[in-house]
Amino acid sequence: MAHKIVVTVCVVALTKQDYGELDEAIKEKLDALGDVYDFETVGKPYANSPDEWQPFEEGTPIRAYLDKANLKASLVSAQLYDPQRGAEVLKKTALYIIDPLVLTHTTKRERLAREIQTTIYNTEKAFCIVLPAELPAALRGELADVCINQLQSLHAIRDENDSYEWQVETAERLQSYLKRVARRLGPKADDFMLSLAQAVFAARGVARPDLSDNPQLVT
Amino acid sequence: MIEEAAAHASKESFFQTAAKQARRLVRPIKDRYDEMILPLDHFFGLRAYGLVVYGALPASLGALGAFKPPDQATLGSRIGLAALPYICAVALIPVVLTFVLVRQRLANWYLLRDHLFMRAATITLAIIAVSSFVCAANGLLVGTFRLVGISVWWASPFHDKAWPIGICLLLSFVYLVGSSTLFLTVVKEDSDLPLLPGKDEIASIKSLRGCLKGIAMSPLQTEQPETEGPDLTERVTQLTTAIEAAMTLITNLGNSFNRLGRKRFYEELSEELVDLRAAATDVNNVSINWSSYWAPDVDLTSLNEVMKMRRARIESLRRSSQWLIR
Repeated sequence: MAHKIVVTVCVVALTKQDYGELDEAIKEKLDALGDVYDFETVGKPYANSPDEWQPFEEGTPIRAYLDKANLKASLVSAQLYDPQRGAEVLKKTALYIIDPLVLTHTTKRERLAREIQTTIYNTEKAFCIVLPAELPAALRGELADVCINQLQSLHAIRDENDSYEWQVETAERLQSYLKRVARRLGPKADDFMLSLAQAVFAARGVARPDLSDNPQLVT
Repeated sequence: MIEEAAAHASKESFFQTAAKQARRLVRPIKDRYDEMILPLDHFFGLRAYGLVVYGALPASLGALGAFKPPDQATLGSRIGLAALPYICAVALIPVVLTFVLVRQRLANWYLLRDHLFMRAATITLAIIAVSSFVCAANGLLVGTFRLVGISVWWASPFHDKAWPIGICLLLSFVYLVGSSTLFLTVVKEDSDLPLLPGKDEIASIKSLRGCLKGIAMSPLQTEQPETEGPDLTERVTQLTTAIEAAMTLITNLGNSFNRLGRKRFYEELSEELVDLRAAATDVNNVSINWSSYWAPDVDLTSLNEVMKMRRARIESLRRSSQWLIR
């Protein structure tokens, strides 16, 4: 089994308790979706913890996707709004998974649009915005516009780095994104060992080692 | 020849398949049995019921004439209701001594002290009950008592009903002195006596208790770390080393001494230790997560399911092993 990559993750998502704090206009639109967005029921799509957010129809919580992508995640989402530990969370987090509906929350939107955005922008932390394809096109479009307006800095840098993903629509895409992040954060080749190996090969007359021929055992 | 080998192979596979099927059928029954028997063992000390045999042995030897039985005629003539408090006070001494000895043995034979008093009391009472029964049987054999039908016994006066019971109880208390001496001489140190837990198991349990003490005393579980760094890493390393040692012992115990639902108990303990190790590793990575696992004032609803489960198991482990550090 492959060695898991340790990463600190913060899931910036709503919870079950956040319904009352949403913009009225969004509330109406979410209510119209029926039981897709039912803040009374765990997993539809929210729970008490942001880590338990189940953005896609298959009903898998975010933390499970991290596990599947070979990431050993230390989740710090529970401390994000803690006045004493919030700053530490921003400092330690390496990957942010963002729910755009947070930008419609009366108090939490500030945190995302200001501190989190600034931190990602300045320190090049990985981020992805999860906007499920299952949502009606009109609502998706509206949320995409909200993201562009309120997360302008992130929108500007979205293509600069492959650890940024502006819109993740499906579970498969989220999975492949997380695997990409895992590869990026995973162990890198040791330059010293690489040069040592190259020197050994060079001493044996192999200028560019490759696998074009059959491997041979030499004594 | 080939046909023979093929037939043999097919026979083997048939038996193997049958054995697998049987195991599959028995498995749920065994799981259910383990689920039921484990609390019974912890409440009533089932694994130590050999002590009842050793405890009732003096009464049995007395009945066989190996000991001189107490002078029952004197007891019968002098005992009145007024003497009852004095008799109780005197008789209590061997009972208490037996209880204390049983408790000491049980404290060694079980990893944790949960329900220890209950276990020791049950076994002491069982010893008294069996001793009394032996005394009653002896009384019937020598003619001190007479066997009557239930209706006759029920209709007889209170004194006639209470007297044999009282005498048997008193004799069993007297024999407890002998049993206490036996406990002191034979069961004073853990030994490979039949019907009792073996030396190897007790030694492994003792080592495991030491590991659990080390784990319970780990500063990582009581002091919130300031930040990540060598100090925190050292604490985590110490804790995980103790956990690894405990896991090795648990594996041995679970494989070798797994009756009376013990395998299940060790599996649960192992799960608690795995979660503790995962929490420690998490805190080593991000020290602010310490409060999620150990702080008393944390909002539990904000934690994800994995953290909640780890926290619950860590609390359970701490509750069970708290007495080790007192």
